[in-house]
Amino acid sequence: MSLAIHIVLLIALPLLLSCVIRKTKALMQGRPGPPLFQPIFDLVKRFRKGETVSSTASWIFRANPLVGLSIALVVAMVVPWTGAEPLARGSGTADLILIVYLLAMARFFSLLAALDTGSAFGGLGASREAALAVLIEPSILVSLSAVALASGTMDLSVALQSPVRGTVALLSGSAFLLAALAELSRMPVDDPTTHLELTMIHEATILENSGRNLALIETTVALRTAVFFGVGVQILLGKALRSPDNAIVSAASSAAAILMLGCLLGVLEGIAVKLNWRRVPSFVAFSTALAVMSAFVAAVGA
Amino acid sequence: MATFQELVGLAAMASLWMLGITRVRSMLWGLGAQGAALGALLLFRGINNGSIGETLLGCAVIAVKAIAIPVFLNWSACRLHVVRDRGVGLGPGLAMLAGALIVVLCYFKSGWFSAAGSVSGNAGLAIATVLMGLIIMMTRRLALGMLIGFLVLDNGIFSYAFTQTPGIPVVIELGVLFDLFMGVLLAGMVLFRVSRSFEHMDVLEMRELHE
Repeated sequence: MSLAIHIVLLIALPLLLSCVIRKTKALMQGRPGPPLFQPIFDLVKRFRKGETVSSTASWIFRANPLVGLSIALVVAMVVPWTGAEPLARGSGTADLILIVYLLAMARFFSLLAALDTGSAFGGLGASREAALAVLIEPSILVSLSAVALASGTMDLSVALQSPVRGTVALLSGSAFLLAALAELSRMPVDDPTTHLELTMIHEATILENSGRNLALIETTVALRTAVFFGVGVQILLGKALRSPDNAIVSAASSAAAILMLGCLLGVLEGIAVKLNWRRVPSFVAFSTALAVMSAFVAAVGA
Repeated sequence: MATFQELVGLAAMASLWMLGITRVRSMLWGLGAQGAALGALLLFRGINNGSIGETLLGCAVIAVKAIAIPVFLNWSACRLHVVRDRGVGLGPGLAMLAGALIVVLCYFKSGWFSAAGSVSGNAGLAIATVLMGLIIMMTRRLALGMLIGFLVLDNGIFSYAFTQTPGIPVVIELGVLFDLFMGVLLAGMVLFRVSRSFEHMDVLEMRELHE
């Protein structure tokens, strides 16, 4: 039952979340914006379009969207980001280190694919994204480790659903969400709508993709956004959102919290200015510092 | 018993953030958030214990520390045309990591500072806020940045006092709060005078006393 809820949310929530973010952002900018479900229409349209592939591209370029989507699906299946019970709960499949390195593998493939096209933008975007990844990874790893320390297990499917002290939850949850903003290339670090060569990071790596490839990549991005937000919500508010005897209630409140976070992100993207590329390290340093704090608070436990 | 460690942690988070930014307005947002967290600490504790004095004091703290002081300093910063305070010594990233190190050390050794019968972690976080205030004071160039660092330090002392002692009479606390506000107003006046006679507030440039 609980697993069915997890799968339903896994299919529905990512697309809904990207719709909500886009609509809020449009409203914040003072324009009515496209219809609420426009991102879904776009996706359907892209699946039906033809595509152009660079003549230097090899099989890596074609494999990248599939690798990315399948890794994101595996992570989304085993991590309890919806508040419902995930697949294979408590079997150690959702090991913290494994999840972090699965995500790193997906990034490795997307960087290779960006270089594979032979376009100058691909290389530029890949080098920027690699630099950013080096900065973000410690923060994500340490903030998740704080939760693991506090709950006494490395298995995220158990750790995210066990009660954690408020201070640890606050510090590691905020650290994780700030790092997630950078990891998902959202606003203060990267503007997902820009296509200006000086500023784009993630967009530069997917510039050569079109048609079905692009649709797959956008699905992956939506899924990853939902998973990262969901994990952040579970760390930050998990204690309040969970009701032990009713899976539907806890899943629904988690989904509502994730959508609220999406609205918040839309507001943030409406008012914030993209950081200067040289200032990004200090943004990430704040997240890392919070993560280190939370890990020690979890370890000392006073 | 509820210890409200989340709120003390939030105050420490705000000072950690203020260590790493140079825009004066963002620093004032951090200062306001810190004041609001401390005020909320008193407010919730007052409601929990059913003490009217502490609840009122919480409201007063929010009014002064979270609203009045940041608004006044923001007004002065606009009048003095100060936007950024480029620090000296530590860069933003290093300063934040140093702040995290301080928090970790204070938290490990929080038994040293904590009063008997109180939660030791809160004492560690409060002392860490004091030390981060000191670092902010040491690494800023403009007198305004130093004033903000001093207020962070004061917030640290405040949170230490309120988490480690059963409480000071409310009248005395209100008096201290009022004194602090007057102090900030006076410091603002001094800043105006300084910037008028030297045409800047950069402490690195002030090498000798004129007149």
